[in-house]
Amino acid sequence: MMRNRMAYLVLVMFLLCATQLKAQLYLGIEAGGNKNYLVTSNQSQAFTNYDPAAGFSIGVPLLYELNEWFAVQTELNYTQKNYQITRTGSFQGIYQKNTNSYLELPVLAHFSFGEEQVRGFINLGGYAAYWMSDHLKGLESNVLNTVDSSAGSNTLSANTGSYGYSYSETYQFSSVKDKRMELGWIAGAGISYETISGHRFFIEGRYTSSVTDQQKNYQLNQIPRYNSTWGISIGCLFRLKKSDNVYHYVNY
Amino acid sequence: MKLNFRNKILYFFTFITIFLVILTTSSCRKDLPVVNAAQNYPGGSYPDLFEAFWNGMNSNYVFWGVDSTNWDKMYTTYKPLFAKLTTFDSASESTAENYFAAMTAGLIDSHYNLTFELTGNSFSPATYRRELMNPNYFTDSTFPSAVLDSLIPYKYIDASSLVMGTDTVSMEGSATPFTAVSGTINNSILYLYFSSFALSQAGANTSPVFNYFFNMVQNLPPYIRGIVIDLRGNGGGEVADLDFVVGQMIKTPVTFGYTRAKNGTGRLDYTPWAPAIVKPWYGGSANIKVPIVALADHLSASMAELTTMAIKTLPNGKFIGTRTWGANGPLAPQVYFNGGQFTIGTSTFGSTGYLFTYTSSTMFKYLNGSVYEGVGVPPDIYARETTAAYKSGEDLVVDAAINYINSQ
Repeated sequence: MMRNRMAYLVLVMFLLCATQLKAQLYLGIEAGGNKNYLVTSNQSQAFTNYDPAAGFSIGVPLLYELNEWFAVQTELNYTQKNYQITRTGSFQGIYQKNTNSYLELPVLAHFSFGEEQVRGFINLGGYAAYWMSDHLKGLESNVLNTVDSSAGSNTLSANTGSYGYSYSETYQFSSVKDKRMELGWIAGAGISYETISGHRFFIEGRYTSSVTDQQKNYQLNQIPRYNSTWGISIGCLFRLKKSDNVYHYVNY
Repeated sequence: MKLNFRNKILYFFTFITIFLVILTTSSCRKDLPVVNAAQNYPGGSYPDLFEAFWNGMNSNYVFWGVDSTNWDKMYTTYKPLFAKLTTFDSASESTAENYFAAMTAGLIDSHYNLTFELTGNSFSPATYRRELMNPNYFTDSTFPSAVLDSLIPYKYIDASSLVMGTDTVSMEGSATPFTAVSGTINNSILYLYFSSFALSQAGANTSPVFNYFFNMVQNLPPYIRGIVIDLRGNGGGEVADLDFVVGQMIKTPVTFGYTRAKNGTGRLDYTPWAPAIVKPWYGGSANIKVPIVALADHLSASMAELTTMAIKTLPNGKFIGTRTWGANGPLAPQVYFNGGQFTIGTSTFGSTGYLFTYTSSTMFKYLNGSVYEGVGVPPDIYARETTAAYKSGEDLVVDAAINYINSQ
């Protein structure tokens, strides 16, 4: 905890002392795809895997350039963090895909380098997100819709085939189990190209990692669940504000 | 514009600072605990058996969403108690069995049963609770068997129509008598009784009973004004018999409830509710429009209850009797639904293990959303046989069914 506070303090000092008032403000739009992994453990479940799943994100970034190499960026994103539960072996065919929709608010330190128009950049920071909804789509065994064999015996089949129950429905959140707020950190890198008119096009690869469990702490020996998301997005930033080309250095 | 030297230093340190902050924050993730399947614990000590059982219940018991038992409190209370049991001897085993029983005494799963393989002892929370309420709970009604011997077949069933017999079937690995009775009552009501859901095993003595009954169903004479299916005292059995029995009386599928299973390691991880459906029997069915009455009582359990509820759902169906046992959750091997029955201690004690936990694999709720697990299905029309009525040669429940059908 103490180490965190020191780090934050140092960061703030550097930012305050390195103010180079270029005052460029950009607003934009971005969209992209991602692949999310639900990081958890399920040794007690045989023939059951938690697989990653693809999703997409769209967002509105706001970039405030403090100087030519440093900016603060925030965004308001709709992003999906999906995953799939898949049964294997004799139970192949049984699955559930969770399509999780989040409203995400990253706050990032934006470091850039390179030439005037073509620049590389790195984004580092954290985010808060709200788990808006979860849509379930899958196929499950249905014990009370069994196959009728010629012998009339109980022919419950693990491989459900056409006798399983296929569903597509909205998940009802549990106030006991589900934690709707998520916090985490982000690291991204990309390239941008800015036109003379102030349109900055960019492509970014990003890794998003939650540090909060997807569940509330409601039972002993609970196995946590974390989202880890790899994404790539493209977008465009539009320059909104540019001050006179005057630079101030604060010495300390 | 290129960075000057000081800006390069600022750039570098700011980047490193934020990077270190992120590294620090990323360690906030908790370690993922290793929670093995219950059967994979070694089970070489009582503390290990406790951990295996508690964790096995934690992830396999399907009723945590509706069961009031505080399972975390059971962990904190009994973990230190099991830690004091340091040797396997008869005194420790007796104590351990009492602990396991005390932990589970309040569970609502009315299929639930613990079998202690070392001693052969067993514990059923549902039986325990019912005998606490009424020591004569099981002896209060032996009427289905008794009336079959002396009452229904000879006082109610028309002599010329009577078909009855007994075979031996295998129920959960045990040889079990299987009795069936059919015939007409007052030449206007078609009656069927069978002692368990093992119709696929009907042999030389009971096959004629079912052949008679279902032949009548599929070619229902105009003088038959109602059908009675007597499920009193029936402890359940094979799920496939549902379509065989009820499915021969319908022409379109009927949803009578829903089931859900475990879908994760957490207590509250469930699949969506899947519809429980009785389908027309593939070998042929009739569109029965006369009243269909299910008779059930406090000893009707499992498939007997599901069949009763399926009949209740029919537009011409009715349940007459008393509230049933309350064991509605279907069962299957644990691997099928990642929930339900499990064995602990196989590594130490062999294939039968130390303790077999028999519990439902899925949870059932009736069409109206009610969960009758642990409480039983309520009748549409209450009727209960009494000793006095039996001694005077009356079956008050069958009488109620006759009166109901005659009133329609």
